[in-house]
Amino acid sequence: MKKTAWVLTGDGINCEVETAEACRRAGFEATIFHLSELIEKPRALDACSLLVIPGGFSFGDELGSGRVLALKLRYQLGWDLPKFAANGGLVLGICNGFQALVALGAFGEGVALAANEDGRFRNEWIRLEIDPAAKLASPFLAGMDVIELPIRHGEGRLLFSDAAKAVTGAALRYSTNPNGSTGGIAGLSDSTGRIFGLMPHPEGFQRVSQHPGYFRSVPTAGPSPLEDGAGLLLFKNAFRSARPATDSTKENHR
Amino acid sequence: MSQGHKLRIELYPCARDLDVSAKRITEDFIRENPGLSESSFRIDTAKAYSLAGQASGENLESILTEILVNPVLDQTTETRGWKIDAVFIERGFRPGMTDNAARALEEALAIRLGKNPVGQADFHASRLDLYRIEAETPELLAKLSSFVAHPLLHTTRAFTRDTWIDRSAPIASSDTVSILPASQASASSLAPIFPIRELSARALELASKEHLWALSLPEMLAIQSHFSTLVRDPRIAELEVLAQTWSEHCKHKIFRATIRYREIEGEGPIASPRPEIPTETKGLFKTTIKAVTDACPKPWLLSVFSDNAGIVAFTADDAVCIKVETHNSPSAIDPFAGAITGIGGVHRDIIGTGFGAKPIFNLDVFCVAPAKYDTDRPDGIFPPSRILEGVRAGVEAGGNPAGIPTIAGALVYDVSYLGKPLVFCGSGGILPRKILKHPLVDCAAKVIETGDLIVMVGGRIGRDGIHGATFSSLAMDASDKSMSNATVVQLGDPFTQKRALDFLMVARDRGLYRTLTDNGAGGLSSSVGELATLSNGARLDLTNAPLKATDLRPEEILVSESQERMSVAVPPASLTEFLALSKAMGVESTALGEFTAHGRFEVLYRNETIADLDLQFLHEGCPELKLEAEWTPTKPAAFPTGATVKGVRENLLALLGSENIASKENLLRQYDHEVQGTSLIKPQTQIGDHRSPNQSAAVLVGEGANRVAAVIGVGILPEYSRYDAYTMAQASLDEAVRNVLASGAEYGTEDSVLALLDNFCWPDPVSNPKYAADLVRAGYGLRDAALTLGLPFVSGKDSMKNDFRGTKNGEAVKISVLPTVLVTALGRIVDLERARTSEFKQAGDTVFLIGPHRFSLLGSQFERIGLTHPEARGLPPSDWAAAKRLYTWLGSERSDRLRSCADVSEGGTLTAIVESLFAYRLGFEFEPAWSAEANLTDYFGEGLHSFVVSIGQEHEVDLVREWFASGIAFTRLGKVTASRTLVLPKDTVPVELLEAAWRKR
Repeated sequence: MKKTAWVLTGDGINCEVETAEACRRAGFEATIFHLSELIEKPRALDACSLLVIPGGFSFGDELGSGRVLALKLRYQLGWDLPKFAANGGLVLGICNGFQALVALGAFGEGVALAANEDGRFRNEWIRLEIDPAAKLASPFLAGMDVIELPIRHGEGRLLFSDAAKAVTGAALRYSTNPNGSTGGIAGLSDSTGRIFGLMPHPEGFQRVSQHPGYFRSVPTAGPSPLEDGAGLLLFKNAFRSARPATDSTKENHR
Repeated sequence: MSQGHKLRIELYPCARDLDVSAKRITEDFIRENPGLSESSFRIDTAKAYSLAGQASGENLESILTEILVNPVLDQTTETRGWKIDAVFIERGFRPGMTDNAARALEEALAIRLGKNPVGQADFHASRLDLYRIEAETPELLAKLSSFVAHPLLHTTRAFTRDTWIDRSAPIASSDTVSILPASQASASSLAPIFPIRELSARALELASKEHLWALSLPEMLAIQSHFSTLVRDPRIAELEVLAQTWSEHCKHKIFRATIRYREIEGEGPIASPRPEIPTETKGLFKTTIKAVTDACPKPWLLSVFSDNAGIVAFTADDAVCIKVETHNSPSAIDPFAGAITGIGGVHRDIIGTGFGAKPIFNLDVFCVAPAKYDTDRPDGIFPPSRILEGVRAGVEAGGNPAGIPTIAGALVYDVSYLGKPLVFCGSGGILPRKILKHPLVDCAAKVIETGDLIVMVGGRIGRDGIHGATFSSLAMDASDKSMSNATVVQLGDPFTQKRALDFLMVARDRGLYRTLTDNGAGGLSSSVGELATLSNGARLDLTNAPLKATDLRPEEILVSESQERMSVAVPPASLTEFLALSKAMGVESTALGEFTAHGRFEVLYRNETIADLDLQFLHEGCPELKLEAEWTPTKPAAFPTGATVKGVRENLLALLGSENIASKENLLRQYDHEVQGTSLIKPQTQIGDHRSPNQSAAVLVGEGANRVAAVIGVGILPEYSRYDAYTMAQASLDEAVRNVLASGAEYGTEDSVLALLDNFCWPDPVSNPKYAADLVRAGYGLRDAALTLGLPFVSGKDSMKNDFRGTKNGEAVKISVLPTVLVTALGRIVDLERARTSEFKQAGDTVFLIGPHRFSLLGSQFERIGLTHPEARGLPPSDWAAAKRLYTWLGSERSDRLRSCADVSEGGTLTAIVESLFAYRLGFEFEPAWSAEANLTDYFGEGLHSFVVSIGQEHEVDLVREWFASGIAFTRLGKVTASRTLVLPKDTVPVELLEAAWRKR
């Protein structure tokens, strides 16, 4: 049985191509679905092994990043992500996709992403430390301790209500806090570990040559530029623990 | 809730540190007002949304709260106490401006209520920004109040503590919003006549100015004579169409003009070798730029100059297109709005290239005055810091949300840009060379058949964006009413554009349309008017055109431009499927007439003809311009020959910290340069906390396992225009070419792909023969260089009235930009393993200067920042034959042994070396034999053709032998060391110190 990944696009999502590519490199049979297509011809979420909400600027980030997309997922698609996860599905939200998961309440009430502390968008590479508990709990993070990834966001400052602080599971932390996030938290994992979201872009380090330090090894005996980058580990982890898709009759899309 | 009633929700940040808008306004205000402290004022911001509309049985207020309020971040009531003398400013968009947040709210409501979000909205939302301002003095309060308002885009209301309580009361009837479009224009006035036949020359000139047509007297006379022959007067809409189509912006009349050129003897530096300039040039574009391309018939040139962007074949399957635009005038009057529409406009150009392309990168180049002129500037213009931050933010807001990486660019500071900044926005796209559905149609072919439908796709037509083309064809005059004319400024909407792009790419691959173009300057009048030449006619019916404002006149509908709107030719058989797909993907598309073969451009509105123009006259009837050009060599104003020469260390530190050389990391990292996952060489190399300088060029890889990469570099050296625009143009071209070669571009074989773009930004050459002469010299400068190198131009653009007239301290001032050419190079790297970066990588490597390096301090950054030098000088000479030998070597696999390669540019050889040390914490030691004889020109001189390269010792002997045999000049400069110091003849400088100087800004 194949393991399938659905990668959402439309309404301002813009990282679907490279995200689908990362899924494929990790072994998934990946399909990019435009939201409008899923709304017109609804499909049961259980037909996929991994649902990815990629990065982007859905609805132009208006009314708060990810919030209108979350409304669309809730009211137009009617997906029940916790139930999907409980049935063995995996959900990954990257950057804007993470913002949408937060807005959907996937990590509980009282969690929010605010504008970066300095009010500015920031693109840079940053070192991340995996939370030891999350490493055990989340299939996405198995065997990972530190990773360097690019961040590219303007609203990545994670804030919690007092009640939420106690229950929400930090999955990984910035080694130097770029945005004022509480506890330097860069990503969250739900109680099952199967719904996972993060602000940095793992699909942005799927090839080794995407790392800014890559060229130091050129033209000596460095790795080929197309070899797997460390960000791909996350997708490979997901592939390893994903359950096969229940529906193999799906049409071939884009 | 019934019509006419409004709901209003206010959102206040829960905590002071969440108020990042206030933080940024405070920062910006203090930057412009040095000496002011943060304790002398305080700004708090909040947002409000108001909603009017029809709905019954819904608890709208609680739904609005669900949509808008994030309890962790927002509270809906204001809890901080008021200071008695604070003011509250409420700011909203002017009617007809794009209000993206309000559109999102309307759509969110529709989603929440289970309605189709596209098309007629049931609600009308608006978004308001609220500012509470407290200040030490009433003057400061007034200054801050005007700082937050942008009168071109917004309307504002001010409140005191006592009047704030009544804030939600309707203030004007227009504020209580009608939802359905209502006709404002009465039938009798749909197609007013302009009595051109009876007007005197003087009256024609006045009318052109009054209507913002920017038509010259000979052009008005040509129109008069055309209509006299027709024995009728034109309708206003016809004049609007002619004015847009004949604008300098669209027609490039100056580049088509016949120019008489002469030189007057004078004392001053002249390009070396001295160029031969003909005394008459019939069309500078044809004679110089296009002549080069005609002489380089490369098989990979798929489309040059005719389409929105040049198209080059990149692989067997894919083509790449590229275009660079300028948005100078709009950026001068509203930097943010000007720049976001600039970048949005060039995306739209790419989307409309060939049969449609997907944008894959952005580049941006800004020319602004140094920050020290913030407090020393003419009346009525913005401080340069505000312009820079505004245009930076505009390109960010247009690029990042669109999901297009901003990968290359430049920032040039010069006082000549104080009156009008230059804002270059470029973009590249990828398109398949064939689509499966129509395997016989080439991507570059633009074909329309009679009977194809005109379909408008994307954003609605608004009052914003009227007269952009004609406005930008005029000089800026602070007293002119056009400066305060709201209709020439738009706000881009990258979200709507992105949706339209997603839709058009699917429609293209399904073969649902024939071709398309963008609704840029001149709106439908230009897009349909241009497409009409493909079928030889069009009948455009504006009656059903979707509008943002209901009171637009038909001629306004016709000429209003937008970043989010495309005109598409759809075969009748595909229309139903095209429209259905569009609707499903959240994009508004409307059929507005058809393409014909009658040789006419007809426009109808509510069954009345508002324009009926002969296509031939529309496109060919514009009279040719004649220009006089006169050139005299210019002696440098203040030849800096002071005797006090500081040491190398002091000069180097001053240069590294100077604004044109210092690190631009704060600016760069606010652009997403990695989205789409294609970046191979990024704008800066960042290793931990250490960053290298800007890379020479940006390199993008294709998708998947594709090994071909694209490399994009720019060159812009306006400084040399103070002396000779010929050298300026050549140096700019050379820099662009060297940048891509340094990064690994192929060059020198029959099929190596390397294409150039030119952008001219000039002060008015029509009224000033000196500027006309500079233009001629720059044109021939580009031609002579590109012909020798065998590099074709594929696209270009010019902006010709970059002058500012105003007053300062009661005196009249005129500021003209330095004649500026931006050259952009698009190259190909055949295998991505051949891409290379500029920084040194390994201690022990040997560093060489290669190329025919004849440097000079004249026109260099060393001279610009006022460092004094007694050394002899002339303009740096060119040697294109020697350059070609070197470039051919660099562009081949023989150069793969270089471990790093950086072009020698601003700051000269020593700056190039020092910038190469930062990324990997390395040091450098000069060859004693070299530094014993080195003078300031050797260290800091700038010029053409040369590179600093590092190589592993094992290759040294071979490479030296090879350079010698190939006739490539080289000099051994020294060695990379692990010591983190720069070793000069009598001085050792810690690299930390140099890096700190470079990063301080």
